[in-house]
Amino acid sequence: MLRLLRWKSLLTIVIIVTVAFSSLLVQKINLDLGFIELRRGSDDILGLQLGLDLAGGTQLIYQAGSEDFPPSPEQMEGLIATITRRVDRLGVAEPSIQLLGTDRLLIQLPGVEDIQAAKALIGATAVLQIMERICADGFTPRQCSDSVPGSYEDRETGLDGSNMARASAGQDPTTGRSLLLFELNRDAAADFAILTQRLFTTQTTTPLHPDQLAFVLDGDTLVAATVQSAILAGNGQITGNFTPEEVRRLAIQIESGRLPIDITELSSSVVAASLGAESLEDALVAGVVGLALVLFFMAAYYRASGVVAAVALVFYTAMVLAIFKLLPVTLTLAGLAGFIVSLGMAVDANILIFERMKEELRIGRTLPFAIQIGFNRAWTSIRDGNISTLLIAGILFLFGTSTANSPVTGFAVSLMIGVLTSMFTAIFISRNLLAIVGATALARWPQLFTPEPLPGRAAAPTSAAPPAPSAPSEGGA
Amino acid sequence: MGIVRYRKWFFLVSGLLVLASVVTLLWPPALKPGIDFSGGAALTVDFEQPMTGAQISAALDRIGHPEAIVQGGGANRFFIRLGSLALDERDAEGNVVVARDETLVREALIGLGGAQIGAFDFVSGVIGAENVRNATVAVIVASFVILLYVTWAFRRVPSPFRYGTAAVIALAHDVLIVLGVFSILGKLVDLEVNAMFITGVLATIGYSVNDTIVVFDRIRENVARYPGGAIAELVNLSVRETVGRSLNTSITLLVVVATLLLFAGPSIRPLLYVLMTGVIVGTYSSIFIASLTLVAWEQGEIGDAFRRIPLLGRLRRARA
Repeated sequence: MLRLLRWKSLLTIVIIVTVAFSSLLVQKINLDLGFIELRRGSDDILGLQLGLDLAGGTQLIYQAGSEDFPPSPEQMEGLIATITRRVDRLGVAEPSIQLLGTDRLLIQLPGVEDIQAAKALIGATAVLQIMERICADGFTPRQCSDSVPGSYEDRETGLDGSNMARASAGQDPTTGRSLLLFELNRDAAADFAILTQRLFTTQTTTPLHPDQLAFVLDGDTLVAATVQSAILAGNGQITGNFTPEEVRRLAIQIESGRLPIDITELSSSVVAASLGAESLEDALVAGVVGLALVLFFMAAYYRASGVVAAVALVFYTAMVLAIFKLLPVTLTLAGLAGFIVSLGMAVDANILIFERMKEELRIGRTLPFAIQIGFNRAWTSIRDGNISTLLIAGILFLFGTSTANSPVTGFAVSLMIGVLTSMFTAIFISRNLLAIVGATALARWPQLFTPEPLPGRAAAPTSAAPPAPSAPSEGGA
Repeated sequence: MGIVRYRKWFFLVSGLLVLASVVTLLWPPALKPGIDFSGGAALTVDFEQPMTGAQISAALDRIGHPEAIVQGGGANRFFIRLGSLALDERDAEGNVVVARDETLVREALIGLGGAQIGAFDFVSGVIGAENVRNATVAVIVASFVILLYVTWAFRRVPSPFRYGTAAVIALAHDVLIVLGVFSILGKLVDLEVNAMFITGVLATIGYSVNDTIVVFDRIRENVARYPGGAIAELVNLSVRETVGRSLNTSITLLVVVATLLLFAGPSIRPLLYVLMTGVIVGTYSSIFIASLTLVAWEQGEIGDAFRRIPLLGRLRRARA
């Protein structure tokens, strides 16, 4: 029974470690099992997602509006949509534009080193134009769009965002279809009536390719529509095959062009890819050298137990990195520091266990017994110590994410993942590996598992030590 | 009796260290704030040709930044720190209308000869002030949470609140001394603290508490094993049993941190310095301060000490 349990746990360890290593070694994971779809990985080292400080890029934080004129959630959404459109035009591979709190924007542009150009693009005020769209010959209204260059020509109408009173999403009361509702200022209504009258006329003269009314934001067409009748009162509606969500987004984008909010730069940071690569290389060298020193120390001081711990720590490192890749967690320098601190915790858990084992061996217990008691005795302090670190990491996370994107967040996240993994490593992997090693012939020489000489065996060289008085399978029951 | 017998000496040493830390913290500036806290700009620049810090300082002085701190980073690399950074004025289309520091600093550095700007960070005063507030609140909240947690974790021993308080005293001791060390370093070698410094302080808290819990856990175990034993002896025994583990853990951590210090860049260096100081102070306090505070309290010495203060004693007698 006992043996069976041990083989089961060995199998579990092998599976976990294989998954961890293989997910790191496969640069890009592309898994589709039908019910679950997993796409992870990048072109960077081990396919990890690297932060801007390691991969290079630009980060900007903007304050929208002011204390006296706080932006509404819709305005923020419009702003994010506007900036997303512009950044897409810049051709950034994986831009990230997020809301921080209620009125701030965090913009991350991997690979962008020309921060001045990025600021010019993002900081520009949104311009909404109302255009008269003439489709080129041979193009139906459906065919003339931004994606077909030269398919149309826009004529200015003298009307723009400043003439708009509002735009909103609505529903046709009879058909239930989604509509975009808009309204112009009273003093623009007359001009708009003339414009729509003209557009409506083209509908009757050239029904195959009538001219259209287009709302254009920063040069991108938001929506273009054929006019069904002259709009005299300055308020109209656009119907189409819209989903309610599409209409809502359209309304928000028109609103963002109608009433652009001011944005102020709060912080910015640009890291050149070459410098990022240098930092990454330094961190890797430091990590590998540091880890090697710790492993060497463990094996030299705690002997066979230390070797087991060293193996467990290598597994631990692979598991943490695999979790980073699979979740995914973006790896920054601060995150690496959090990982190092958690590595310290993982080492500590092993040291706590070995010191307890040492005490048990000292009073003459057999190795399997010492291993079991050592784990049990060390567990309460490992648990309490790790929980207190988790609490602190949680507090750091809360204060790091609140209003500005601080490096503290990255530290806290990797510390949390690291501590949880280290607890798992200590109580499951180290323990079972040690128990398995303790069940082999090595158990005859408990001296191999403790740094101090054992009573009665101190004088004898390890190789000539007499066999332990009891059979190894006796303990652990 | 070992360390417990000499507790007054440890209290004296710690008391002096804490006092010195408080004094240097009260002497402004308490800590030299980096751009994360004061706002400003920081740059990493590589030059193609040999350059001196003085040349860079002079160039920055000419465009109105006499406060610029320039530090060499080896191989024509320099770290530059500006007290403030005026942003360019831009029109509605995003084009620069009036070039200010943002552009002037770049141009001045490039004018010196082939400057490659590797990193350029700017933080406004608004964010700086928020970071200061968040950091302070985080440290206070963390201390309070730890007090509650340790009290709860030791709920089965007599007077668990004393364990919680002793852990927090050790924690406060560590935080004050770490801050004191950085206050002095800031005054002597212009070492600045950044957001990662706060992370380091909180990591120190985590480490210190973890260490204290290991010792307390052993005390908890020994109290249960030898009921009726004198607390002084039980604490002494527990400390002796855990000291090997405490030292081994600290040494491994110090080795890792020291390796990182050799290789890591300037942004996380303050964090590493704090971790190093924190690990040393945290190990010391968990062995000596936390456990000995517990002994002093259990033996009623804390009350005695207060009664010995002349005025307080008289007040107490008067009330009685």
